Amino acid sequence: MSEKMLFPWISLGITILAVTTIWTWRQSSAEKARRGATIGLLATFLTMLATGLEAFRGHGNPLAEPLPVGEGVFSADPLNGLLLPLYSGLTLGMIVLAPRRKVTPRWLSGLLILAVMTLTAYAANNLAVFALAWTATLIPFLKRHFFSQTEEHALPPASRIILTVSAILLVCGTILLIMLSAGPTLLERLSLSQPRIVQSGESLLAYAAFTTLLLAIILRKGLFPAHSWVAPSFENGPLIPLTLLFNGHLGAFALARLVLPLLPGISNTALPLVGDLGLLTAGLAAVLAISERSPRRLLALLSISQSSFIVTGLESSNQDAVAGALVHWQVVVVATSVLTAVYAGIEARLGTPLEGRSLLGLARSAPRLAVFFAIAGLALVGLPLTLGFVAEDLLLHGTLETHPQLGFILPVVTALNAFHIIRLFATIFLGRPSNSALTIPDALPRERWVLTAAIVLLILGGLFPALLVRLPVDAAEHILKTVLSSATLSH
Amino acid sequence: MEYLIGIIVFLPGLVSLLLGAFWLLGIELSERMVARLTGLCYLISTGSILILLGMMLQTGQNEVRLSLGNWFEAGEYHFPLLLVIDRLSMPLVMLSTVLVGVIGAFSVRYLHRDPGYHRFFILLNIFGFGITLLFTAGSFDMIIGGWELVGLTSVLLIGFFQYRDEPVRSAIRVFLTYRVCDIGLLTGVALLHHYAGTAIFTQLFNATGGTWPQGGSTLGNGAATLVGLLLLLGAMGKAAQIPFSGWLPRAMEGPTPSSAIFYGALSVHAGAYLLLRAQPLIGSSKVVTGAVIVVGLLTAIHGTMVGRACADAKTAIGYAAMAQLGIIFVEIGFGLQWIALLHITGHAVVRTLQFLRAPSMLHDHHRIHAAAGGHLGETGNHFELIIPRRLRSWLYRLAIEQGHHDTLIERLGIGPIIRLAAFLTKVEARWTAIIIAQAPNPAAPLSSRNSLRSMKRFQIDSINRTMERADV
Repeated sequence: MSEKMLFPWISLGITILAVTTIWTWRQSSAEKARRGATIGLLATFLTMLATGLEAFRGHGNPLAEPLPVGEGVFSADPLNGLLLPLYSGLTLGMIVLAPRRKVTPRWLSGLLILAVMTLTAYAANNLAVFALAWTATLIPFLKRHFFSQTEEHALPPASRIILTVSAILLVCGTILLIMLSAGPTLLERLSLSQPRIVQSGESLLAYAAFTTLLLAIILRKGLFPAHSWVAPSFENGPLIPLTLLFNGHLGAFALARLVLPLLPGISNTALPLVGDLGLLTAGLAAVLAISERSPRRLLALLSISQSSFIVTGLESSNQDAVAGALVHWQVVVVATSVLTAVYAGIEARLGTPLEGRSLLGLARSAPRLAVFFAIAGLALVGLPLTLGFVAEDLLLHGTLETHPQLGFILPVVTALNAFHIIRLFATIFLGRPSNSALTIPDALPRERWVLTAAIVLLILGGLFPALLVRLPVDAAEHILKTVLSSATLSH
Repeated sequence: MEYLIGIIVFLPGLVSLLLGAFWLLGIELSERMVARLTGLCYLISTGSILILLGMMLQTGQNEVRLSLGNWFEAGEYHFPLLLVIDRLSMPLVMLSTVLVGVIGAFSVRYLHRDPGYHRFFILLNIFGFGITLLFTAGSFDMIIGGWELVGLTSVLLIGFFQYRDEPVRSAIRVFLTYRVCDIGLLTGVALLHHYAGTAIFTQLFNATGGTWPQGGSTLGNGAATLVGLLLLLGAMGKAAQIPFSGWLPRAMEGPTPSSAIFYGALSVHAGAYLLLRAQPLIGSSKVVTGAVIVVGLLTAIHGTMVGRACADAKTAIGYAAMAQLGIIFVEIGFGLQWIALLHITGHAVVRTLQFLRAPSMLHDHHRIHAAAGGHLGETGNHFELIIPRRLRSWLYRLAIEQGHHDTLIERLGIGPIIRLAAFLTKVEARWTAIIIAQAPNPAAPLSSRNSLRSMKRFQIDSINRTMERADV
C-alpha cells in the first residue's frame, strides 16, 4: 500500500462519532442528545464522503491513512469508499426520521455504537479490528440498556443467541485465518490489504476457516436456514435499530472482504452453494410473505428476500454481477430504510403496531408519506427509471452465466415481492379511513427533507445511473483484482 | 430529425416529473394550469410526430433512429438507449399522442373538482411517457421499461377511487395478473441475452438488412420456441387473453377516461405490439404461432360469449375489446402483420369513442329513439338464432358465469400457490419454535391459518374460497 490519503478522514470521522456516542450517553435531555447526535453524524458523514472521494482517486488501489502511529488500521478502497458514506448517511437519516417518542439518550447512543462499529468494520484494514468491530455491532442488541428502555421489546432471545453465535464463529474464523497467514510480523499477518495472507488454499485448516466464516455469514445475513431470526426480530424488536443492523449487511461484507480474497481456492469450488442459498432464501421469503399479514413481518421478509440477491451477485466473480450486487446493496439499504422509517412514523402516529387486518386509508391524511412509501417499495423491486431497475438488470446479466437459474428466479421473486409491496401499500394507505386515521399529520418537515433526498437518490440514480454505477463498477473491479492476485499467489 | 423522437417520448415524462415535484413541494397548481400543461405537451408531441412523418415521407426513409448512447455500462455489458420510429411504431405513436391528448382534454371536465384531479394527470403523463417509450423502444430491454410503467399506472388508476374497498381490491388483482405475466417477458428477455447475446431488434431480426416487417430470427428453433412462448405469456397478460382475462372487467373500477385509454385504446394493445415486434422470432416456430392462434381464438370466443351477457355498458365494451384482441392475435399468428396493425389502429379509436360515450349511453339511446319517432327496432337475436334453443340457454348460463373462468383459475392457478405458502408458513412456524427452544406454540398453525384468513378480507372473493379449501 504505497499510496496514501491526503488526510486521515476515516480516523477523524470514527473519532468524532465515538466522542458523540459517549457524549450522548451522558445526556439527560433527549432533545439535546438528538441534536448532538445529528451534528456528530453529519460531521462523520462529511468525513466519510471525503473518504469516498479519495478512494476513487486511488484508481482501485487501497489508500492508507497518513498517520504517524496506527497506520494500517484503516484504509480506503473503492468498496468501503462506497459503503462508508452510504451507511453514515443512512444512520444520519434514520436518526432524523426516528419518531421522537422513541428517542432517548440511551437509544441514541445504542444506535451510534452500531454506526461506529459498522463503519470501523467497513474501514478496517486489519483482521483483528474487523472481527472486533463486527462483534461489537451487536452490543446494543445484547445489552438491555439501550433499546429496551422504550416501549418496544428487546430482541427475541433466539435472535440474540443466533447473532452471538455468528459473532463467535467469525472470531474463530478470523483466528484460523491468522494462523494460516504468512508474514514476517504480526501486523503484516493481520493486514487485509496484502494478498499474501493464506499460504495454502486447500489445507484442512483453510477448509475449517472457510466453513466457520461461511456459517457466521449465513447466520448474520439471515440466509436459509437461518432466515428465521429476522422476521420475529422485526415483529417484536426495535424496528429502526434492527433496520440499521440488517442494512449494514456485514455478512455480505465479510464475504467480499475476507472469504473471497483470502480463501480464493476454496471459494471457487464451495461458494456457488452460498449463491444458491441466497436464491433459495429469496424465493422462500417471497413465498412465505404470501400468507403474511403483519406489516412488520412483511417488511422483514421483503428485506430478506431482496437482499439475498446481494450474496448471489458477489459470489458470481463476474464484474457485471458484482457491480450489480453492489448497486442492489445501495438500493436495498435506501429503499428498505425508507419503508421502515415511514412505517415506524405511522406506528408512532397511531400509537400502536398495525395488524394489517383491514385497509387503513391513511393516504387521505398522509399523502406524501404514501408516495414516499410507494416509490421506495417499487424501487426495491426494480421499477424502471429507478436505481432498482439498473441493479436488477446488471445482476441478471452478470449472473446468467454462473447462475442461469437466476434468470427465472429473479423475475419470479421480484414479481411476488412487487405484489407484496402493493398489498402492504394498499393495507396502510388505501381504503376508507377511520376517524383516528383522519387526524394523523402528513410528513413533518424533517421527515420530508430526508425522505425526499432518499427518493431523489433512487429516481435520479435510475434516470442518470452512470455515476452511481461507476462507483460500484470500480469497487467490483477492486474486489475481483484482489481475488485474482490472491489466487495467483496461492498457486 | 431524429431528435423529434426524443421530444415525443420524453416530454410527457418531464411534465409528470414537473407536476409531481410541484405537488411534493406543496405548490398547488390550478386545474386549468395542469390541463394546459398537459394539453401543450401532447400538442407539441403530436406536432413533432406529424413533422417526423412528413420528413420520412419526403426522404423516403422507413426508419428513423435516435441513439442516446449507453444508459449505463459495467465491464463489457452496456445498456444502449435506442429509440426507433419505423413502419410499426409510427402509427401507434401517432395514435398514442393524439388519444392521450384527447383523454386529457376530456378529463378536464370529467374530473373537475375531484380530489384526485392532480393525481390523475400525473399518472396520465407517466402513462403517456411509458406507452411512447414502449412503442419507440429499440430493444426488448427498453420495452420492459415502458411496459412496467404502463402496467403500474394502469393499476394505480384502477384504484383511483381509493376510499372504496372494491377498486383497491381490483387494482391488487390486476397487478397480480400483470406481474405473473411479466415473468414471461422478463425471463424471455433474459433468455434472449443468453442465446443471442443481445436484445436489440436490429441485431436480432435485421442482420441481413431491411426494416420491419422484413427480417428473420437468428435463434435456433428450440430457443425461438422457448423465448417466443415466454413473450407470448407476457403479451397475454397485457392483452387480457385467456386464461389471464379475468382482470379486464375488474379494471373498469377506474374512472371512465382511464378505462378508455388503457382498456380500449392503448394499454391492451401493448401485448399485440410485442408480438408484432417479435414477429420474426414467433414466425420461426410453428409451436409459438400455433399457440398464438389458439389463445386468440379461445379469447375471441370467450369475449364474444360473455360480453353478450353483460349487464353494464363498460364491462360489455371491455369484453368486446377482448374479443377483438383475440382476433388480432389470430391475425398475428397467421402472419398478417399489416392487417393486425390496421386492426389495432381502428379498434383503438372505436373503443376510445365507445368508452368515452358509455356514461351517456342511455341519453344517446333516448335521443336516437326520439329522432326515430319511437320506432327503433329490437337489437339482438341475430347470431343467437342459429344456435339450438337448448344449447342457447346453456351457453347463456355459461356466459353469465363468465365461462367459470375465475373458478378454474382459483383451482388450478392460485389455489396451489396459496396452499404451498400455507404449508411453508406452518413449517416455518414450527422451525422457529424449535430454534427458539420452546415447545411448539399451539397457536403457530392457528396463526398461519389466521394470516391466511386475513387475506379473505383483502383479496378477491375467489382467492378466499380457494384459501379456505387449502386451509382445512
